[in-house]
Amino acid sequence: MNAKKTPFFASLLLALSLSGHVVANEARHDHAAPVAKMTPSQQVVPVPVAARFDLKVNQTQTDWYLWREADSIETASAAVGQNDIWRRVRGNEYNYRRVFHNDQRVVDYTSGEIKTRHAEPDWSKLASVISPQLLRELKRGASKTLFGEKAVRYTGKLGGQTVDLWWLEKSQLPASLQMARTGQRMTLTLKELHSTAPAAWPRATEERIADYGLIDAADFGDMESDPFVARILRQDGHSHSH
Amino acid sequence: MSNNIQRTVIASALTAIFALGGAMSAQAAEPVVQGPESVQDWYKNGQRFIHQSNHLRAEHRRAKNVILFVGDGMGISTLTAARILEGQLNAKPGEENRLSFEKFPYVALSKTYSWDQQTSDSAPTMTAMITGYKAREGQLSVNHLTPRGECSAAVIAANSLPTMLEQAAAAGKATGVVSTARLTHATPAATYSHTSVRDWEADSNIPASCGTTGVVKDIARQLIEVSPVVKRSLKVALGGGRSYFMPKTAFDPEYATTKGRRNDGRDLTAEWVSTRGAKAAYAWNKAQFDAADPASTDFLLGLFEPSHVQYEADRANDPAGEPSLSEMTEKSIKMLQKNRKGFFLHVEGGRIDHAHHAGNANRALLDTIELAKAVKKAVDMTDPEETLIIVTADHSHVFTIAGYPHRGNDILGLTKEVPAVDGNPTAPSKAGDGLPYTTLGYQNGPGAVSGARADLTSVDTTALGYRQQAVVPMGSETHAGEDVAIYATGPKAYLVHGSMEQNWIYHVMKEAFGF
Repeated sequence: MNAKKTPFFASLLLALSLSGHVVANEARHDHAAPVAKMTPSQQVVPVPVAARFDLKVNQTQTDWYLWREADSIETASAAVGQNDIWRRVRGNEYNYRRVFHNDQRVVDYTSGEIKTRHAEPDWSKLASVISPQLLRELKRGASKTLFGEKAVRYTGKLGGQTVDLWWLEKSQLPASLQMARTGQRMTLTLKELHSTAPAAWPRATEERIADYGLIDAADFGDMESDPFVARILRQDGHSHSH
Repeated sequence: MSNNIQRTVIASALTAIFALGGAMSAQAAEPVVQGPESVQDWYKNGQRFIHQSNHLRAEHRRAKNVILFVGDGMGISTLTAARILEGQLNAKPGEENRLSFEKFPYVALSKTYSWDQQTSDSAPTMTAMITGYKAREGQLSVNHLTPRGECSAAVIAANSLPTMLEQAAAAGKATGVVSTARLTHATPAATYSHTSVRDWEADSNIPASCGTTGVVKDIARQLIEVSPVVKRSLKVALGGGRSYFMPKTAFDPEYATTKGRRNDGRDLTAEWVSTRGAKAAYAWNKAQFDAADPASTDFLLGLFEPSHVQYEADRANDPAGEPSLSEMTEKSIKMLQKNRKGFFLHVEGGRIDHAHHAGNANRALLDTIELAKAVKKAVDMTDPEETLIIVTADHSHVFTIAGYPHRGNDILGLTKEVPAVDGNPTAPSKAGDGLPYTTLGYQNGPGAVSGARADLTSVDTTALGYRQQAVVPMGSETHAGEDVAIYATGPKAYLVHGSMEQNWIYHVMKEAFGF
């Protein structure tokens, strides 16, 4: 996949946590290129929400969850068994936690580690699944009420992909999104939207992960003989392209 | 006469000679790249070196104090690049610069293989330096007969190797450990703990299969529950790794969502204070660190991050503030100097290794420069006739300085050679694929190229977060097996010479102390 030519598709797929998304995603940036960020005037502070989506990539379907709070964003992929948690600790300082339920392991990336990996996030993209900036490149169309709020349709092409999006303006989230390109089709459909998440949703609570092994990503270099770390290193390393 | 004036005079004279001859006008152009030195400078410096070397006097007396600095992963290419970067940060070409410890009179090469590794990790390498024996991968200060994953405290005790820190303590000296990594991380931990698995830093890291009785203590607990003689001696321990000393039920004081890692419910930071008398203190931020007066503090534990402390490049952004490695070194020496019998101090620049693993040369070099500042602080604070200072590394990294960059070329930038014709401007050199390349790079790591290499022409490769390109794709760049350097000054420093096995460093320190 050529990430530079298909930013919309790539960012969404990767943001949807099909695999360790953000580290892999941001690693696709040119090494010294700053991550695109919105100016303060462009930024809309999204309201806290908890959302459940139905994600379908080709014939594979899964539930995908998003918990958005003022300074934290957590996602969960039921199919992959992974939660990803970003926390904004101060200004542009972030911590990132990847929770691998099947392995009962947690990997923490400190702000310094995120910087060394050149993986500072685009917070607006994390918060809204797709970057609201990309809407400008699509044709704004009809509107209607979905989930009790105004939804606007955006259509067009981005990087050779056809895009059909219903965008919730207040929640700053897609109500539905279809993207297609040769051989690949992805549909994301919002199923539930709450201000407070149902307790049954698979959040990586402290209680749930209390017995998981905790690894500082800075220690990966000393842990290559650990099968879990070796797998993560392969996964992250192979997703990196220049 | 200043160097610049000398150079101008010489250049003018040469120009005049060529002009008289009416020949070689093309070669008469001023080279675009010029070092600041004069011809005389090079020669005089060489003569000065011989003069000083002829007067170099081996210091045969015993050392009262020993300080062992270890740059984790600080291979020779790292030293060269850091030296150049430090010089360039001071607006010099850089190559002529010397890191503080590069001025030490005695240097050797250290062979870093361990008992079972051609290229080692930090556990057996520090075990070699601190116990005098080569050891097994991943094991701390136990002999090579120790089974992998050995849980039994009795077996570990039977196979434990006394460390230089423990022997100094037994001799009545004060001791200290300082690191920018977690204090429970392999290098600092080898000074005070004995275990078959370096990762057993908290009790939650020890597998359930080890059982509950007769199990070796986790490393954090070993730091707090050292032997009585070490407990009296170990005056200062400064670094990272706070969460390994805190119970899982407790939230971190600096990061609201971070918790401790201990299953046993113990707060070892509180136990440090409660078990070491009224003049014991614990600090987790810069303000508390600054408030700890060496004159009135007998025991100081400082844990400035839940895990490793910040890279030096990021330290200013730390929410609660952290002391630098040189500040921790200074405070430690002040505390240890209160002991009239002398002291042993280990200081580790632990994050050089981490930045290299991430393929981020800039941060690795800035941490190396900070280590050099810490060494200078130690030199300035101690008497060279009574303090042996050794600076070395545990292992190297696959980090290279490539191409034929011209003098003063930005060490973090694209390689630009000396122009083929004097007077011509410099331009990025091109590799076989027609693209420019950086001087610094890695043989493997996360910066590896998949497919065609990126064109770096418009990329700021000097950016702090830039990751150098690499050849072999690996999620984490690896250690390297070539020798590392040992620098020494002070009593018995002359014993550091030639090609040395890494474990001989211990024997130099032992000889210096007279143990």
